Amino acid sequence: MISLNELRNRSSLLANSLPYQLIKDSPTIKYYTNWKAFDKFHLPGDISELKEAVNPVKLPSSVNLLIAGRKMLQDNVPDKVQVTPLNEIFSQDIKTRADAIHYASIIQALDIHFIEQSSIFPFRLTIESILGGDIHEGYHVRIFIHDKSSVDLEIFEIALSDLSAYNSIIELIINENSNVNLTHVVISNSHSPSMSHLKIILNENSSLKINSLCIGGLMHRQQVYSLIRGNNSRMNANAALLGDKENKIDYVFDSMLKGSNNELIFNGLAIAEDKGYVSMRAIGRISEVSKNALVDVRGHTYNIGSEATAIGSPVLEINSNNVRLARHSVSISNISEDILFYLMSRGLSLGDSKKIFKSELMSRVIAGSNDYVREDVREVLEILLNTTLPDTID
Amino acid sequence: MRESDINSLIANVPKWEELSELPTPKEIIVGGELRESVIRDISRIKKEPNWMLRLRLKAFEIWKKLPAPNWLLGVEDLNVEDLAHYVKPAVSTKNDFQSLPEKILEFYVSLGIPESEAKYLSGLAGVLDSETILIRIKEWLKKKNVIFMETEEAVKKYPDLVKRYFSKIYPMADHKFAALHYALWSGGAFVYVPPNVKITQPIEAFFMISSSLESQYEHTMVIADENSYIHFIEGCAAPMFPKYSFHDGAVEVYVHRKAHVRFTTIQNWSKRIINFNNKRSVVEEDGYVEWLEGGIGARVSYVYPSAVLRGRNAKASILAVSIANGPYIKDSGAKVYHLAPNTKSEVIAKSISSNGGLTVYRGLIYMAKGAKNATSHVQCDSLLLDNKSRSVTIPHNQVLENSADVTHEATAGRISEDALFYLQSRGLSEDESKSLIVLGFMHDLIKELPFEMANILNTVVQLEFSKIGGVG
Repeated sequence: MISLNELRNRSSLLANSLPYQLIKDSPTIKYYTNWKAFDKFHLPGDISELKEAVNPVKLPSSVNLLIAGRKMLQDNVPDKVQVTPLNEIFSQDIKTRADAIHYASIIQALDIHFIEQSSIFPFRLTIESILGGDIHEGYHVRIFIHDKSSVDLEIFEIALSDLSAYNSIIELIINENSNVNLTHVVISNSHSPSMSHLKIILNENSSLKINSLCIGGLMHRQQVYSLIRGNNSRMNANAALLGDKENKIDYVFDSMLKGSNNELIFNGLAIAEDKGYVSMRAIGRISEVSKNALVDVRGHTYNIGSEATAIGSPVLEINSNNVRLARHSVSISNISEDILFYLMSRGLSLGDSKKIFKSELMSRVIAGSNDYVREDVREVLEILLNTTLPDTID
Repeated sequence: MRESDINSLIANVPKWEELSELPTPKEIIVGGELRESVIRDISRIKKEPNWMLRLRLKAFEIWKKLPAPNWLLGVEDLNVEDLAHYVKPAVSTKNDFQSLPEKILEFYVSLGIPESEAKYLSGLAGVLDSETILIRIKEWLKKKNVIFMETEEAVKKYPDLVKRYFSKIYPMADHKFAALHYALWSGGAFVYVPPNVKITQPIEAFFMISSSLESQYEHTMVIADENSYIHFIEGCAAPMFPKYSFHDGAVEVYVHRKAHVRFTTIQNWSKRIINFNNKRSVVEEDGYVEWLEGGIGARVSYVYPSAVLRGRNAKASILAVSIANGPYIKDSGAKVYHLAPNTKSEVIAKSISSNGGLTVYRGLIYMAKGAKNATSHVQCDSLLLDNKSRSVTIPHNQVLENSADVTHEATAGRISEDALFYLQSRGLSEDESKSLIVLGFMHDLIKELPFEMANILNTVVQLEFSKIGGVG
């Protein structure tokens, strides 16, 4: 273990000397994140002197836990959930500038434990960037779901301060015989870059369903890395991305299966609109020790802007021949003319038809969620996007 | 193929030392440290015009500046300066088989090449090491003004035609090994098909490397003028060497308006060859390019046939089958750039990994702004025959045009136990059953080949998965 302060100091020293990404210059793998956008922000100095630039957004549904700048509000944290500041962290091998920036810029770090046999429906966590001063604003949250628990988890990451570059790492460790439904919403502003990294470890006989929504961002990089290492564990991930106006999203989903009878299903939907840019990469890896694995990675991107760019790359890496199914597919197209014709034949304008289509698409990701999750997401999106969403959203 | 047949084949396999080299005398070998004088030497030996020397020297300067790709696997021991850069066999270019040295003719006969040429080819080029040693062309092609000759001869006889295309389709600054290729290129075939000429029987170029620690930088060009058709076949073979050799070849294909080029490769190098084969094409309006790629041999192979669809309604079809049987790497794929409206492409990639082999599919579909209503479909299927083998699929789709459609699908799976059981219950051995399943998996490629060539490929695959496949 290493103390957070020590890690922060070590990372500060490394932040300017490392490359942003460790990728090899293969003919097809490119840098899709415009890392230069992060360069104009600097590491925070004395955290106690940081100034708030915006106020936290008032969400209609009560959150259980809110962290914003140096603030932390705990409303109704259930008994079976323990929230403590995270002072120590597992020793980190810092290989990239993105990692170094994160650890050097942590404003708050928390440890959240859902103790054994928890049944929590739902637990809402909101993280907001509110600081100014052109700094990197980092948050680090480690969530432990202990054995035999069942949790509905809602995480909203709201990067609305355009005077800071938001970054986060959320570690989610799910222990044996536990089930988690995670709704993960990330909304970024159009003036400063942001990065959000979700790291997941799934142990024996556990299951995780993730519904992710990722909207906007001058340059938003979203990473979801998961390790399914227990036997008989399953992960079902749905993601919807919206890159409109001049926003850019680089989304990477990377999952490794290491046990027996594991399943991974990823279904991504993305929209590139106006001058927006969306890159969706999803990687399913089956390790040599994996047995009877099932991997199904799918993605569809709608390129509906005259100057939009859509990139899709589903990768399969199979190191075992004991595979039940390994499949991926991706497609990129405009909205089907039949759908537009149908909506317009009902009297809607082209603009409204596209809006409805977009809302319907984004809502697909949370279609299977509980009523209260759908309502929460709808309310948050209405407030943050400052628009009334059509009924199809729920 | 029955067990008894295999046993008789094994009995007839030459001994290792007999296989290790083709006993062909060499007239000139240029090797050592790669310096400007080496480039000048090669150019002088070839008596080529000044413009080509300047091009080589420019490529050499680029080679020195470009970094080595850091993503290549399995070529850690590749050091081009350990290799002979240019090897001229002691035989001039011949127009008939009988004039070839006896040992080379024997090798051609053992591969069935004279028979194939007589039956279904309209032209044949034989390249040995760094030079073209055989050019045969049917009379009717000459009458139609088809140009078919070694690339060096075309450089001298048709400089304007060659200059128009040479290094324009496959740029020398593309990567370090592209620059190296242009600095040292030697051998290869040049084909020009005049407007409205349809060559109904294929033309073939056959490449051989005769010994270890050699490099081969052959350069092949196929120019199909308006409304013409050609099927070009490329084959390759090499004996098992004690050490490796390196093939860094290039193919440039230009498909003019309404022309159609089908380019087939059956790559069957021995398992000591490091194979980089750079295949590029440009397709004009209503043109159509087909790349059919069968990659069976080689220790490591990097091949990505590419098409730049720059005319309206241009089409590309790429069908690639690769087999990594043993601890070998087959990194293949396809790249298609859609630059014009209504362009279409289809990519089908199939790979088989066996006995610790690694197959990789790497693909790129790029839809430029303005490629209205362009469509592309990519399908990758991987088959793993055992638990030591691996498969990776890395496709990329970049779409800047909102009326374009791109779809990609891929599956990977192990060999069906049910199918194996069924075949073995009919009296076939496990090896025979595996090779039958593999042939079924490769059917998309085999059915597109001329009958005789399909037969050869069938045999090669059967042998590859039989006991004698271990020969390499």
